[in-house]
Parts: sequence; C-alpha cells; structure tokens
Amino acid sequence: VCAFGLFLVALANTGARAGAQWSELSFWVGLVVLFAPVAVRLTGLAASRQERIGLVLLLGLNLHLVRVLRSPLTFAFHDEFLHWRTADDLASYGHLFRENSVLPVSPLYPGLEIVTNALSSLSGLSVFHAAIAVVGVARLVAVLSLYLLYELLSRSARVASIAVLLYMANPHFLFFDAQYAYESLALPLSVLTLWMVARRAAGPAVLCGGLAAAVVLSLGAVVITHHLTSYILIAFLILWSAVLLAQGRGSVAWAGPGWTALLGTAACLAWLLFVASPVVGYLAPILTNSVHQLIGLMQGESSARQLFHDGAGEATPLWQRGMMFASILFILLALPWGLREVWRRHRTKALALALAGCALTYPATLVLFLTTSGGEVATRSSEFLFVAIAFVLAVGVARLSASRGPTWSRVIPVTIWATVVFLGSVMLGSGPLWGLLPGPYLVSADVRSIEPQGIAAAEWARAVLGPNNRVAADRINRLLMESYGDQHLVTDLIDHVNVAPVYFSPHFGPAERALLRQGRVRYLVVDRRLSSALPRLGVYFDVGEPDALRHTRPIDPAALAKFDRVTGLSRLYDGGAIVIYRLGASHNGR
Amino acid sequence: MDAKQRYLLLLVTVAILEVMSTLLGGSNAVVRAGSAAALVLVLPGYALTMALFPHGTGTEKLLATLGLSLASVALAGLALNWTPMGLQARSWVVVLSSVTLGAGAMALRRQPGAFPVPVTWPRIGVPLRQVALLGTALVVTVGAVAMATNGALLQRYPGFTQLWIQSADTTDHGAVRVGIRSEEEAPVQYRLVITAEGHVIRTWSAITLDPQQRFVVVVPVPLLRSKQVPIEVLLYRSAAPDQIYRHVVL
Repeated sequence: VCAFGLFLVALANTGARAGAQWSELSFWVGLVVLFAPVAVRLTGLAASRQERIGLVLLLGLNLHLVRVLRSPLTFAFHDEFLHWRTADDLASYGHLFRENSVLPVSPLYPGLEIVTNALSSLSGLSVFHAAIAVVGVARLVAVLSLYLLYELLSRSARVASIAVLLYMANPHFLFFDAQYAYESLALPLSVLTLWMVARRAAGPAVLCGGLAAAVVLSLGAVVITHHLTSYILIAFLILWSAVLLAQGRGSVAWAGPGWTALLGTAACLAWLLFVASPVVGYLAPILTNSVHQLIGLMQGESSARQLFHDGAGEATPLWQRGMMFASILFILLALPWGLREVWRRHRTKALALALAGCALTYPATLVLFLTTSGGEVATRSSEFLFVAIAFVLAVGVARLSASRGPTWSRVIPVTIWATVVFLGSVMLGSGPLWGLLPGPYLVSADVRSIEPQGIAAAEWARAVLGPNNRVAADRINRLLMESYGDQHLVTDLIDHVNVAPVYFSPHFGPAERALLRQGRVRYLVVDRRLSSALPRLGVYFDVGEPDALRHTRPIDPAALAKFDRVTGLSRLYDGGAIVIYRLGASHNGR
Repeated sequence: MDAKQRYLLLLVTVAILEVMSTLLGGSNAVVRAGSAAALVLVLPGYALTMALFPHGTGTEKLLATLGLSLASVALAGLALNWTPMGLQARSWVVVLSSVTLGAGAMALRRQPGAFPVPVTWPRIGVPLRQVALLGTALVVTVGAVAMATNGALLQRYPGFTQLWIQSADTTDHGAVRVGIRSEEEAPVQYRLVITAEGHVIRTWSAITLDPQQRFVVVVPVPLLRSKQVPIEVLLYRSAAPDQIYRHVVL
C-alpha cells in the first residue's frame, strides 16, 4: 500500500512537470496512502513490537523518498546548494573551513559534508548521490532513536510507535529535514545522544563506561555539525537535569544528563571561540528581529504578517488553510489530555516531565507566526519541539484508543486525527503549493526558480571566467553562481555590502558605483526575468533590499537594462534572460 | 573458527577489500560503492558498538551501529583535516580501517563474552503471499523512482542560446574569442556579425547548430592592439533576420 502511495507521489511530480491539473490531488492522496495505513496499524493493538519498528522505519524512509522523487537528479532546495558548495570545496581542496560567501557558517559546521565526502570519495558516487544516502541513513537513525527513547520512557512499544508516527507529522519532517543541510544530520545525532544518555541512566552499571564514550562521540559530532541543534540539545539536557534536581535526585542528575550538558557546553563554547565565532552574528539578528517585531506587534507599532499569501499575493486555497488550522487545533485540543496522562502515568520520570514542559511552549510559538522573523523561528523550532509534543500526544492518544469498544471505533478516529495533523503540518512547513511540486519557472521562488538558463550561465562562468570571482547577483543566481559556478558572491553576510540597491535604482550614479567599488564586484549578473513578476518569496535579493516583503510591482525593466548604457561595463554574456557584465577597473576599485 | 574470529576476519576482509579497491582504482563500480558504504556507514559503528555497547538488544545495536558510524566518521574527518593528506580517498581508507580494526580489537579484548558464539541463520518462514506482496511493493517503489527520474529528465523548458565574448590569449595581435552554444529545442540557423567602432569586421551568414552544439571562433581585431575600442557581437536567427537575438560587447 505504501509503495502505491509513493507511486502516486511520483505520478504527481511527473504530472506537475507536464502541467497536469490533477497532480496536486495525486500528491495529497499519495501522502495519505503513505501515512494512514501505517497509522491504522500503529494505533491498533494487534501489531507486534517488531512490526511497529518495521513500520516506523518504513514510513521514515518512504517520506525521505518523497523528497527524492521531488528532485531525483540534482539538488533543488535553497539550503542544499549552500551545503553542496561546502561539500564541493572539501572534495576539491581536501581541507575544511574554506569560505562560503552565501552561508558563511556552513563550512564552520562541516559534519554533514565530512560524512558525504567520505562516502563520495571512497565510492565514486557524486556528491548528490552520496548526500541522498547519508541523509537517508541519518533519517533511519532519527526514527530508531526516537522509537527507542519513547519506548524506554513509556515502557510501551505502542506508545513509542505512535509517538514516532506523530513526530513524522511535524511541519519540517517531509522536506526541510530531508534536504541536504546540516540539521538533517545533527538532529538525528542529537536524538541518538538523548537516547544514549537515557539508556545509560536506565541500564545496569556494566553499560555505563561504554555508553559514556558513545555519548561523547555523538555529542561531539552534533557540536561540529549544527549550531542551533547543539544549543537546543544542551538546553534540553539542562532542563532535564533541573527537573531531576527538583525531584531531589541530584546524583542521578549529575550521572545522567548533567555531565553531558556540562561536556556539551564546554565543547560548544570551545567550538564557538576557536572555530565558529561568526555564528553569533548569523543567529543574533534572526532572534533579535523576532523579539523586536513581536514587541512592535503587541504595542501596535507594526502590523501582523499577512498569513496565507505568498510574496506575489497568491492566496493559499481555502481547504489548505482549513487543514492548517485543523492541524494546529487538533494538537492544541489533544495536548491537555496528553499532559494529564503524562502527569498521571509518568510524573516520577524527570525526562517525561521535561518533555511535557517543552510541549507546553507550543501555543506560545504559534504567536510568533504573526511576525516575519518570528514565523521563521516558529517553523524552525517545530522539529525540535515535536520531540516533546509527539510523546505527550502519543501518551494521550494511546490511552484514548486503548479504551473498550470495537476496534474501528478506536482506531479510525485517531487515524483521521493523525492524518489531518500530518497533512496540515506538511502544508504549514512546505509553504505555498508551488514549492511542493515541480513546474515552470517562477520569479524568486527558490526550488521553482532553478532551471537550465540559470545553471547554464553559472557553468559558463565557471568554465570561462574561472572560479572565485567576486560576483553580484539576485537570490537565485547567487545559489547557482556559488554552486554550479564556483564563484564568490558579494553579500551582506560576508562582505557587509548589500548590492541590491544597484539593481533597483533607475540610474547608475555615484552611489551605485560606490557600492560596487566597496564590494570589489568584478561581475554583475542581471536576470531580466526579475522584472516580469513579483517575487514569490517576497524578496528578489534578501530582506535588506528596498521594499523587501512589501513589493507591489516588479523591478522596473529599465532599471535592469540601465547597465547596457554604462561606460566601462562589458556585456560579456547574453543567455537571453541572463546577462553578465564585467566591471572595468574604474568601477570595482581594482 | 569461533564467532570472535569470524567477526574479526569479516572486518579485516572488508577493510582490505576497500583498501585494494581505493588504491588500485579500477574495481567494479557496484562493488566499490557497496564496500565504501559498508566502510563509512556500517563498519566503524558496528566495531564501536561491539566495543562500547555489547550488551544492547538487536535494535539498539542496529541504531548504535548506524549512529556511531555517522558520528565517528564526522569526527575522524575533523582529525584528518589537521594532517597534510587532508580528506581524500586514501586517507579515508586508512583512518576508517584503523577505527574499525582498532575498535574491533578492543571489542575482542574488553568483551570476551560479547559475541554470540553460534552464529546461525534464522529460519525464514515467510508465506509465499507475503513474499509476492513484498516483491510487488519493491517493483512499484523502483518504478516510482524511475518514473520521477524520467519525468525530471524529460521536463521541457524554453530553449535558449548563449552568446559570449572574451579577450583571446594572443600576444602578438589583438583578438577576441566569440562563442555560441545552442540549448534550443531544434537545430537553429544563426547569422553572426562582429563590429568594431561601428564597422563590420567579420560576418558568418549561416551557422547551423544542433541542440547542445557549440561554435567558438577567435577573431583577430588589429585595432585592439593600438587602442581600446568597443567590439560588439550581434547574433541573429535566420527565422527573424532583422531582429537582434543576442548581443555582447567587449
């Protein structure tokens, strides 16, 4: 049955490439066919432990395959290009920490790229195929770690399997955590660490030494793989220790999560100080902007973000809005019941209480959706928060569906509930429909903006201009020029120069010249399609551009055509939509 | 031969196979990919699991095997970075084989009772119906991946043509290199005109390119020797001979 679901998803992707109207329906039905039958078996009482483990592994892998089916030949998602460049540099130069101009922190957290490099260089597979394999194995680790953690906690294979099922219903499981990005490896390793700490605390003394060494290994790998995941893991270990202390079990706290948290803190600080100090400048603006926007919203100084519309003003269909609301509502309704059951059955377990405490923050994160930066924080936190939410909901659901009565009356409502949560979460996490399925080119729409013209221009730049030239480009051509083109993109992040005003300005005057000189820009990439439509993501370049997230009309075509009239600029390349100019010495400060 | 020796022999065999495959280079691609996947994603973790966590259940050992493989490879790569060899196939073989064999030896020394001595194959009693269903599922899954791959390969995009210009690497006289690459959906006939200071210096009246075909030419421009003059290249399609299709300027 699950294979048929995959077939429907493949059909949806193929149909969408040909512009078929039924592709959307095929995609959603395919997801239901993948998810619902597994939910039926896991919610019921009949399945054995082995079957439950098999089913959660199968579902985890199948959902990974949904990402593969979306783009089976190349990287396609925004972050994948950034990490591809880091992996490519590692393969080319054989050493870590080379500069990545679009995501400067990526080379500073190279765990994922290291593993990919090992597999790729030994097997002869391309980076893409090695990446698919590594993320697939990481996904198995995530699912199995979660299962064993929940089972250890609940002493029930049924609760554990339902909890893993619900974890897979988090907004980022389907695509975001299946893409080639550092969190896709760090998150599984952090759950593995949690399980090993819990297993060590619960097991006999003979396990202690060996498991402690294993914890050190996996914790170390998390620290060098992803900043945010390592910080959240340590924060949770501290919370767990605090609950143990509050329960008067100080010695257990120290022997269990306490020393791990201490070790993790030391490792994170050392990594931050000696290797990854730029991460502070990378993360701080996101968090501070969220707080400022939230405060502004509460004080009435700023308006709430327009929900259910993309940057070009296209509205989300009503039924999808309904599913998203229903998903959130179903979780909110079930949480109190789950929390009550956790309190009744597991209140002596510090880990269960720590998870329950985290789950309690879920309603607060929903408020963040009202702000732009906060929305990003809220969706990015869901994959972490759902480790707790899934457990709490599963405890409640398992209790509810184990009550007396015919099987269908217990299993069917819970399956429908879980499927709605799953579908609504996919819609919440994946953004507008145009991002879910392939199709024709759209302006500034990440996965839907990657197409042969942009790739050909980037490959031309690599072949003819050579690598690592200083290039200015829009959001999409940055990705392509950095990955396919092997160029250095001049960005606010690493060069502290925002080149976007050069493109928006109707004139090429002293201010524009000064910006390009400041950024020592050698080549300008101009994509004339930017003037054909509003940006789907709300920005053509980044949030620092004029009228970012508030564009009401596309860039003026004359503003993009002005470069043809500038003395000293050579129009070296014309690919139709994309033109590349070389700046003379008087423009780039050389 | 007891189970411990068989276990060690297996690790040594795979490690040696991987060393040979990497150092000698020309092994079968499937064998190479399989042995590499084992050496990166399974063996280090398995050896470490048997050394550090030999009393776990089967599921726990499976998890630890995969998880510790990923973790140990990530950390080993960090260590390799500080060596002159860096991260490359040969250094990976050395370090991963060392981790695997070292942890395997440690497992044998530290946990003499960790290995179930009679290693026997489980009796397979899967009904024929389930085998048929599993086979069908596998075929459908492979078919789904093949369909998606084929769909991606055949996705149609608007055709386009690239035109470019660059200074040619000649020392004794001025010259430019001009290139055309067709990514159109069908063969296209072009006309190429090169001008300097408004004067036509070279024309190609009928260049026909098939899809993915290139045309590159080096054109001497003596004027470039003495002064900076703009060289303009215009490309026309025979289907619309009066309309400039592409143009570049040096």
